[in-house]
Amino acid sequence: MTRIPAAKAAVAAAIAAVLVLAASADAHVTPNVQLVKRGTFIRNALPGASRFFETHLDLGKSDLAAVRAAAGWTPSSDDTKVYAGRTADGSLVGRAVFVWVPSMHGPVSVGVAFDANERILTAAVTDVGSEPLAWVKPLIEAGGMDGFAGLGPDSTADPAGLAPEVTGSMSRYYAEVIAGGVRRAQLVEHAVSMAH
Amino acid sequence: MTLGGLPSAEREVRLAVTLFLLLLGLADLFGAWQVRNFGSFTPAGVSNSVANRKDFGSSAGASTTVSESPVDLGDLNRPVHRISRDLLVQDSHVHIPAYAMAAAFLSVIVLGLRLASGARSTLILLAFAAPALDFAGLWGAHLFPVAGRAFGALALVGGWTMGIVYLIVLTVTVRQCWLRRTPE
Repeated sequence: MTRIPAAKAAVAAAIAAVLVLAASADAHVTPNVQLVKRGTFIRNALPGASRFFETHLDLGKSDLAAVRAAAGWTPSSDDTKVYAGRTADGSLVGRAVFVWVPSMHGPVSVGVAFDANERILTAAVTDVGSEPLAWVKPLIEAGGMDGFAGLGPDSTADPAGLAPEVTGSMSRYYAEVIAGGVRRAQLVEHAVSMAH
Repeated sequence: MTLGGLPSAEREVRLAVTLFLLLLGLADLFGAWQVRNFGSFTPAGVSNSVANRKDFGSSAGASTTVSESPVDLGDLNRPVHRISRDLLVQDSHVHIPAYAMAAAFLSVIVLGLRLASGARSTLILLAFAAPALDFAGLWGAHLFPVAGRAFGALALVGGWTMGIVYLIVLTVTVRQCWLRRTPE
């Protein structure tokens, strides 16, 4: 049998050691796929804004109860982020709300931009787990997110209207997840708007 | 195949075992890429990824309060990987069985290597302890953020333990099956 020279074997083993040890440390972390950068989303959704702010939110008891009742969801500072776009003189152009929505196969992050009257300007799936991407992508590519534009605070996001031509059962499930995320963003936006 | 019989097994058996180990290593190469993109190698980083955050309303004010601070949109473009409880449940559900299968396959190979009984038992114990340590660390960091760094370190120890077991099994397998092969 032909033997591999010991020096070559040692080098190969050393390289393998570094790579494998690196990979084995915390390798189980499930990655998300970034579809839209949040900063880019805000800038494109609020073109009239020149100054941007993070809105630090602490929901009061009544608003928290209202969100729970409407969406069956208790928001946290971890899964909900709000940003405001203002003109140079401080006038509000609009806000962007980002929410993480858990799902059967991984999280989905939905970004929704509102004008100063709580009307939806645009919505996007900004990040999604690598597993549900296959079911979410057809909804996005069919232009389904465009259907949320124009919804006012009293209009509920309807999953049936999100790319109805995409009929796969898992994609329809994710249409519900995404529409639920838009609804959550609407509720947060309303609470912030009322607090100002 | 008897205990310790792998080095003297037929070529096909040794080939299958070696190729399995190399393919597992290839998967780890992509794992390294994934860790570079999304993971953390420090206890603090692991802790920050999984720590449970307080819900809004935990300060229990009667009315909603808001305040604003300037933000650089460029900073928002950097993805931050967060593992919420839902995702941690999913990760545990998917990855612990995968870890268990990897540990089982490595253990079967260990049984075939010419090692002392104590060495075999230690390797098998470590192969199965690794995922337990790993996920105990992740869940500990999630549930007890005050001790997040300690639990983060525990998770890393678990990951490194699995890597070390793999390397030992790979090295001994290649050595006994191909480089220093001696008939039984």
